[in-house]
Amino acid sequence: MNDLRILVVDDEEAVRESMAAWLEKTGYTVSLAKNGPDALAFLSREPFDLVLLDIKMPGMDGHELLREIRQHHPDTIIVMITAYGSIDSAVTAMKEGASDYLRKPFNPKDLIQLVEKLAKEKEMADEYRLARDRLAAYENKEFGDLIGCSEVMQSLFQQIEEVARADVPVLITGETGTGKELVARAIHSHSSRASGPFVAINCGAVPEQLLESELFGHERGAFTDAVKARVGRLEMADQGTLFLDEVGEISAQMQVSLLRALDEKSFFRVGGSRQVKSDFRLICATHQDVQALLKSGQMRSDFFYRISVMPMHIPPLRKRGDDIILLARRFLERFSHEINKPIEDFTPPAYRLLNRHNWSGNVRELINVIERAVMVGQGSKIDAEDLSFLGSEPATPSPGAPLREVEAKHIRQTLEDCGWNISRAAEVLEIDRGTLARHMKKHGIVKPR
Amino acid sequence: MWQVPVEHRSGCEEKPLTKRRHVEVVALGQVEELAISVAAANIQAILGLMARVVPPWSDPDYAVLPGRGQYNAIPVLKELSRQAENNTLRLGITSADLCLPFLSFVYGEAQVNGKAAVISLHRLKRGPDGKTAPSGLFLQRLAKVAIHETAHVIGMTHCRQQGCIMCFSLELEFLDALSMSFCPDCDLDRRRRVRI
Repeated sequence: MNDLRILVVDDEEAVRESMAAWLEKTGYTVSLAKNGPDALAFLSREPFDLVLLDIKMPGMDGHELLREIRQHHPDTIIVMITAYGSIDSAVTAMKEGASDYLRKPFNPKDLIQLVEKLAKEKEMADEYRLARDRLAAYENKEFGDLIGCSEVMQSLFQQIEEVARADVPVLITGETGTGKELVARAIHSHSSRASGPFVAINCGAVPEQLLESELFGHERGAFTDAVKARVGRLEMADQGTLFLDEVGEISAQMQVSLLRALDEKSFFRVGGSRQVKSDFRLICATHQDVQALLKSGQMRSDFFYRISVMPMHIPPLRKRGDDIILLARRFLERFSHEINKPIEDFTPPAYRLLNRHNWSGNVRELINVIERAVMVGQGSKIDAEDLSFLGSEPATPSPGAPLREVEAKHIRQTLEDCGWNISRAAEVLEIDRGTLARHMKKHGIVKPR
Repeated sequence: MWQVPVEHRSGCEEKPLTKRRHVEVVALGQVEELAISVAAANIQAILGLMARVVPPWSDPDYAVLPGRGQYNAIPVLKELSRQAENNTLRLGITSADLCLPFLSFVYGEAQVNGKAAVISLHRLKRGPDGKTAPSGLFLQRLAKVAIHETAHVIGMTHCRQQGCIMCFSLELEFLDALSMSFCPDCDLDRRRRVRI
C-alpha cells in the first residue's frame, strides 16, 4: 500500500521539506515542487498518485494548478492544503475537482487517515485496471456473454471447452442468476452441433399438464385445445442441443418419459402413433440441491445418472472476486449506451460497495442494480449514493439454518426487491406465479398493507 | 523497559569510540536526567545501537514558530545533525511542544536515513484523566518514542503489524498499546540495518 507516489507543491520550503520527511517515514515516495510550473514539469516527467497542493502560492495559484492537473492528469488525486480561515477557497477547490482538503496546521491523524484512504482507493483502482486487462485477454476466447477473469471462471471456461467436445448429457448446477443458460449456450456453440438449433425450455415455468405437450409435441385432436398438430421441443432440437432449465421441477412420470426418449432417441407425440426420431444433445440445469432431490425422491436416480454424465457447477457471484467489477463495468457500458446517458465509470466508494455486497441474486441481481443505478445516476460516474439501496441487504443466512427459514427469507426479500409484484418476483425466482403463490401461502407471506 | 545507567561522559573526557555507529542522546534545555538515561538505555538494549548520554545543549528557542508557541522540529533536526561525525547519530530530547509547519504536533521527528531525531516530552506526560501520567507510564512512552524515532534514522519506516513499535501512533492510547519490541519483519530489518 505504501507505493503511493506523492507530489508536494508548496512555496514554503519549510513546509515542503517537513512534509516530505514526515511522509517518507511511512514509506511513501515523495517529490517536492516549489510552484505551479515546477509541479507541471514533474507531472509531465512521471505519474503521481497524489498531489498535496497548497492553495496560496505566488504566480500560478493552487486553483489554476488544480485545473491544469485535472485537465492533463485526470487520474491523479489532488488534496488541497489551505491556511486557517480560507475554507471558502477549499470548498471552491473541491467543486473544481479536488478530492479533499486539509487545513494547516492539521492533526497528524487527519493526514495519515486521508493518505491511507486514498492509498486504498488507488489500490482498488489498480486492481480494477488489472482485472480489466485480464478481461480484455479473456474476451478473445469468445464465450458469448459469459464474462469472468476469476480463477473459478477460468476453470469453468476450460471445462466448457472439454465438455463441448464430448457429445454426452450435461447437468449444470448453480444458484439462481449465475448464468446456467449462458453456460449451456457456450457448450452448444463450442460443440460439433453448433450449426444446429439451441432449444431452451424452463420446466419450472410451464404447468405440469402442458409440459408433456411442450416437450414431445402433440397431434391434432390429442386434447381439447389441440386444434392443430404441434412440434415439441425435443423434435425442434434435432441435430442441436436441448436445454431443460429447472429440471428439478419436472414430475417423476415426465422423468420416465424423458429417460425413454433419451435411451431410444425417439418418442411419440402426445396423441400420436408415429415414432418420431430426434438426435439432440441434452443439457439440464437446476438451482436446487440435487442430492436433496434424490433423497426426497423428487428426482429419480436412474434419470439423474442419465442426465448428469458430465456435471458442472457455476460458482455464485460472491465467490468470483474481480468478476463483480468486470461485470458491473460491462453492464454499465451496455445500459449507459442503451439510454444514451454518458456515464463512464464507478467511483472508488461505489466499487467498494459493489465488492462488499452479498449478491444473493447473482449476475441477474447485478444487472438489475446497475440498470437502476444508471437510471438514477446524475454525474459522469456512478457513486455509492446511487447504489445506496444495496446497503439494506439482509445478512446471509447462517450455515445450518433450516431450509424452510432460508426459503421464506429469500422469497420475502425477492418480493420486497420487486415491490411485491408477484409476476416479477416469480420471474426472478425462476418459478411460475402459481408456485410462488403456493410458497407464499406455505410460509404465511402476505403483502404488507 | 531498561533503566540501567549508561556511559555518561563529558565531551573533553571522551575516549575514542569504536567504529560502530552509535547514538548520542542529548538534552535540549531543561530535561530530567532520568528521561535521558532511560532513552539511551532502551536504544542500546532494544534497538541494538550503542548509546551514550552527552552534555546538554541549550534550549532550541531558535525553532519557536511565531504565533504557535511550539517548536518546529525541522530546524532542531538540522542543528542536531550539523557537524555530526560519520558514525554518530543524535537523538535530542526536549520538554517543549514539537510540531511541524503543517502538523499541529508531533511526539517526535526524524531524518529517515539521516543523522538526527528529536522527541518531545511535552505530550507524553498526559495521563488518561487529563492529569499527569504516572512516572512509569511516562518513561515507557518516552522509551517507545525514542526507539521509534531513532529507528527511522537508520532507515526503518512505519509498520502495520499490530503492536509493533514501528506502528505510527495517532494518539497516546495507541502508543500505550504498542509493545516495547519490533515485530518479526521489523526485527529482521533492524538487525540488518544495525549491522551496517
